[in-house]
Amino acid sequence: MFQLQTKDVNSWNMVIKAASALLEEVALEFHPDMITMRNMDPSHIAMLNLEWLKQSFDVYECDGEHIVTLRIDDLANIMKRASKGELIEMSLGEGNTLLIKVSNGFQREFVLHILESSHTAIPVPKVNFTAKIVMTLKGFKEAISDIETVSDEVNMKADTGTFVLSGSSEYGNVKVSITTATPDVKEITVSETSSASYSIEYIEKFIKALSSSLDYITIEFGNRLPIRIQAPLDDKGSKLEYYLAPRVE
Amino acid sequence: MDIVNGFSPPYVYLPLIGSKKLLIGPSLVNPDVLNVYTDPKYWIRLTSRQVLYIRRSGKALFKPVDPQIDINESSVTKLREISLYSGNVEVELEYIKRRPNAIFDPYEGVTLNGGELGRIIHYTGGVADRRIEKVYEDKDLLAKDAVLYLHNSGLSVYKIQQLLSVGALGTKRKLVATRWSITAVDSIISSRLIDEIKNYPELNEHYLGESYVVGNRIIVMMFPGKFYYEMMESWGPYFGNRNPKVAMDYEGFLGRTNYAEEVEGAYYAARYSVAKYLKERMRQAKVVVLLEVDRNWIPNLGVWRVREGTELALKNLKKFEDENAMIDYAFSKTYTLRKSWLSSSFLLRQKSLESFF
Repeated sequence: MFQLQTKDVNSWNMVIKAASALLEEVALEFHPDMITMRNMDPSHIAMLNLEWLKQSFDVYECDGEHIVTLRIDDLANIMKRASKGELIEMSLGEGNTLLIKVSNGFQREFVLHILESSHTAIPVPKVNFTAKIVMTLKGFKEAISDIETVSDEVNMKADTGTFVLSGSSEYGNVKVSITTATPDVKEITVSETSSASYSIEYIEKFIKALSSSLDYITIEFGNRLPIRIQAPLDDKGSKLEYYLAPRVE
Repeated sequence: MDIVNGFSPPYVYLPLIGSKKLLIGPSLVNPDVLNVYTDPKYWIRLTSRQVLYIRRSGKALFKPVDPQIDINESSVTKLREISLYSGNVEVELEYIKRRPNAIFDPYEGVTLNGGELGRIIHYTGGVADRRIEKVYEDKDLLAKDAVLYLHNSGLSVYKIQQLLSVGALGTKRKLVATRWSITAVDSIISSRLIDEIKNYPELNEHYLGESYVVGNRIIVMMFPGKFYYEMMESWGPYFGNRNPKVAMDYEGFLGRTNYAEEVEGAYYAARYSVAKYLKERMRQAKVVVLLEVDRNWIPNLGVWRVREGTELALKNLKKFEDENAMIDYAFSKTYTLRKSWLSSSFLLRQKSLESFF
């Protein structure tokens, strides 16, 4: 069995939005110490990796390993009914169902049918990231929007203390330079000059799902390697990560 | 007013002139091409000049109407009734002579050279089709479901496009410009087929098919994986430029919600043939279609050549050991340089996360 209680509607919304941009079904894994979710999109270009720790919940009890596969639209429709600050309770129901209660004065109970799981465990990509940038979500979103004005692909280049995003097409070129002196930036750590290109559409699938109340995100990449964008769900260590494979330059 | 007698396959044509004026009218076709006037499966064996000859044969009449016209207006009703038939219909009508070559529509290659349509005096002949009658009489059947029913019952897409265009299908019937009805039918049918394909096993091998029809080279590449579709279009050989800007649109497994703005109608025409093939083989795959247009093509004769060329390419497939060998082969067959294709392609330049596990 498992049961959880939380008022963090915001984090649920981020997880669901990010998943629905990539997937039709999602497999949530309930472990004694955390909820995880690791799913690749059907094209195997991007991956979501969730680690939602026990301590992030008001109540979290789980006696073993439970994989709960759901249609992401079904879960989204229920979570849309929860407003900020409302209490969400989740537990396994009768006959292979997930019971979700949302309460604020009066209580609503939803029963979702759990799908037969075809989920197979997949590893996260093994990547030695050589560049790490911690900056505001707002700043990163703006930089990506700037590149998008001319290109559907962004090149990221990091060197000591600098992070440069650029794009080009037959319409022109655009370059956004970010340094440790930029107010939006907390950290730029580079172990070697790093450069790689990514699909803007796929980057936006993730960053558009993130709550605007989020402050900092962590961006890591390396030469012609995948990018990892990490969004904290809270200050207790829970996080939602996004891996995206590079474009061939 | 003059009076003319003639035969129609039947074919009614609705070009959109600007955004506010729709023309509607029947084609009265010369006897020598009557049986091939609406048959793109035959046209792909010809030159584009011969296709143009067929499409300009006879009299294409037109009547300007407001696109929002009540479709029960008498001339529209008569034209719709004629369209319901299969087989040739003999028509007698009144028309006003106009200078020939007044209007050339860039989507179907029909030149409206027949003058302005007056009254349809009478029509005879034609063969009633029970499938068409069924959806025509069912006013509660959505246009989308009518299109799918007709396709499943074996009616050609070209006839379905005509029926949608003249307001013979759906619950809210209206006239639809020919160019939009063509894409709507391709899109409706292929969307449904793709929904089914997504449940089929993934293709295991790499296959490539190619065709060359009326100045259009089409190469279809199929890769193992979940459904993905991409189409690229190069006019490099037409303009003598080996490094042109290649138009590209694509959709992943979750589909697309907006119109394919770069490749336009050809995107849906090829998607129709790709989806039909995968449905028949009961497989899903990642598919990339390349279209290259050369000077043997006369522009604006329609997207039928893409639909038929893609179908032809899929009839004769070569198997490749791996994706690189297939891609190398594909680019060795095109005038457009590899770098041009690659700079526009989404799939061919996108690495998979699996190569980092």
